[in-house]
Amino acid sequence: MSLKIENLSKEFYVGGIKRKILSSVNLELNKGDLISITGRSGCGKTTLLNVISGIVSPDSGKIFIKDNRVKYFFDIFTSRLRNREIGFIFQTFNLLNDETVISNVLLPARINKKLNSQIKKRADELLSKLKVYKFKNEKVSILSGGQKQRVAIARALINSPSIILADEPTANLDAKTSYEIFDILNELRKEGASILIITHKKEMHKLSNIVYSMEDGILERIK
Amino acid sequence: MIQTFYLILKELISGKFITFVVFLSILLALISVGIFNSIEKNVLIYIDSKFETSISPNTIKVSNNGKKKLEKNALRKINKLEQIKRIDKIIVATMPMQIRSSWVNGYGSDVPAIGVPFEMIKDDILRKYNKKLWKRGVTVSPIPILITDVILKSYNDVMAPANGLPKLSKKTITGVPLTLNIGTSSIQQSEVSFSESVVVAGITDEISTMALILPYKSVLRLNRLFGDEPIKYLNFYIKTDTHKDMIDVASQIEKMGYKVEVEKTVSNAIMNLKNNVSLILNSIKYLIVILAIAAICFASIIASLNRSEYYRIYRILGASRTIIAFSLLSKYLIIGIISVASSIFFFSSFFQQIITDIQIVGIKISFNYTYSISNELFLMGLLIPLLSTIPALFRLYFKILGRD
Repeated sequence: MSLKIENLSKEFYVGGIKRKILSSVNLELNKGDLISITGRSGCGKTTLLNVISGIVSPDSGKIFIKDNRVKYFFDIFTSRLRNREIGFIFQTFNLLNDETVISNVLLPARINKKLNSQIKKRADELLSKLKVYKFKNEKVSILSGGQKQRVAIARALINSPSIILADEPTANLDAKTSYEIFDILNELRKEGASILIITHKKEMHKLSNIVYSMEDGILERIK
Repeated sequence: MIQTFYLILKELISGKFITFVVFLSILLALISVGIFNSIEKNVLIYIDSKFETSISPNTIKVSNNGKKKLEKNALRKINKLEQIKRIDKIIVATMPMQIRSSWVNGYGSDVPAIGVPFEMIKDDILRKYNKKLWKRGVTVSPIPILITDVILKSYNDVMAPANGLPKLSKKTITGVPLTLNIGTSSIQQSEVSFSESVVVAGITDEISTMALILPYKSVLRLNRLFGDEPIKYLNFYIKTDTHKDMIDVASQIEKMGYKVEVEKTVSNAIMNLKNNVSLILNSIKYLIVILAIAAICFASIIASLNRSEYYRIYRILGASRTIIAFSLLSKYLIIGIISVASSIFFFSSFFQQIITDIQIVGIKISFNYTYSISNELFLMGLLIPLLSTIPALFRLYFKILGRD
């Protein structure tokens, strides 16, 4: 099992009022699963991803990644976990715009202090597979939205993570590019990647083997 | 390690303008520190040459203080004080004495005597021969003696007019032979008594006393001859090299419980002058450092805000807050080290040439590059970026990269 969440809860103070963002969330993500979560803005979807990745600590509940419980006591441990076991894909790409494509892709490996010739070769392979190899030495700022998202996917995969967390990866893209990204994610799933995706796109729901809807922090399976 | 260094390097070359501003601020602060150090040293040297060495520190006179007596133990304790340059020990002649002069109509008077070491009064002995006798001083004849200013004045003002005797001057009294009756006075006669020929070797104002001044070794011999305690200290006269040492030594001896007499006014004035000069120049120096810290503080906060998006991405990709904060701190420390190197280069090459023709309020400024200057520049070069990055680090650690 790649990811298991048990009774996860999180509250935040919003405008001085305590608000429950996540309420007893349970979820299992196995190898080769593609799980979609849908829901209106502010319902807690992004907070769930942040808690899974250790950026935010939960109030209660447990998270297991590859059967190891995530401990939130030390930032250095959650950071290492995020770097090695989780690949992120964002709506806004979160790339370093004034750096080259290859530099962006290699950044997680640099942070992991494991930048060697094998990783560089893997970066080239990922860029080729995602059809952005020709931009390898170009600055990210000159790329289109779809190309940036492909670079972001390559970066998410560079450390061979066990989970890919995608937060509305096609929200900023046109329909054609969105389909291309869906295809890439579907391919990755078929290759054995475990993907948890937040999306409103129905096309993505069709590709997912499990779909959840989230409302007021409560997760409800709809497929 | 290489990858951490790469991240630090990336941090260093990001925001080149702010990096340059920080470098320039630290460099200017370090150059100011060096210049003010140089000015301080030169002014202190000027004070030393104009005041401290030309007005030598006064001699400290130490006496018995009630129960606290001057004895060997006291001398041992005082000798341990490192700032002392020389101690002249004055001992008392323990037997009765009478001085007689055939030259002044056979005038005679009971007189106390003290033994004084040669070093203390050597400049007041006028003839070389008498100097030799004073140094040897055990069984010499005639024994050279010194008469104090106080005795001479007392004789000239009171004794001479009252008894119709001629007045005496330093010139007329020097070389006069006298007879010293030892063991005899008008009120006491010891079992042993004898006469010694003495000769006036000069007048001294080193010691203010009504006693005759005899060579130290002669008094020691006489005391032994009369079977008394040979060394009975009256005073210690202590010399120091500097005014500061004099004030320190006087205060320490006072704390030991002995009576200390010394005129400190001039020394205190010189010390105050030096302290005030140092205080003013150091205040300016540290004010510049504080201003540099404040400027860099703002620059580093702005720089970290500008790069907050980058830090957030690094963090999402798995860089810990500690590593990100460390890379930010390292960036400013590296700028500090580069500034230190530049300032050392400036002082060891250009500054020496620039400064040769500069005069400030009549003081010609000279500059000697020393390790102490390097040390201070190095210390400041690390301290300025370290202190000035603290607010930016806090902001980065708890706000920009804050977990919840």
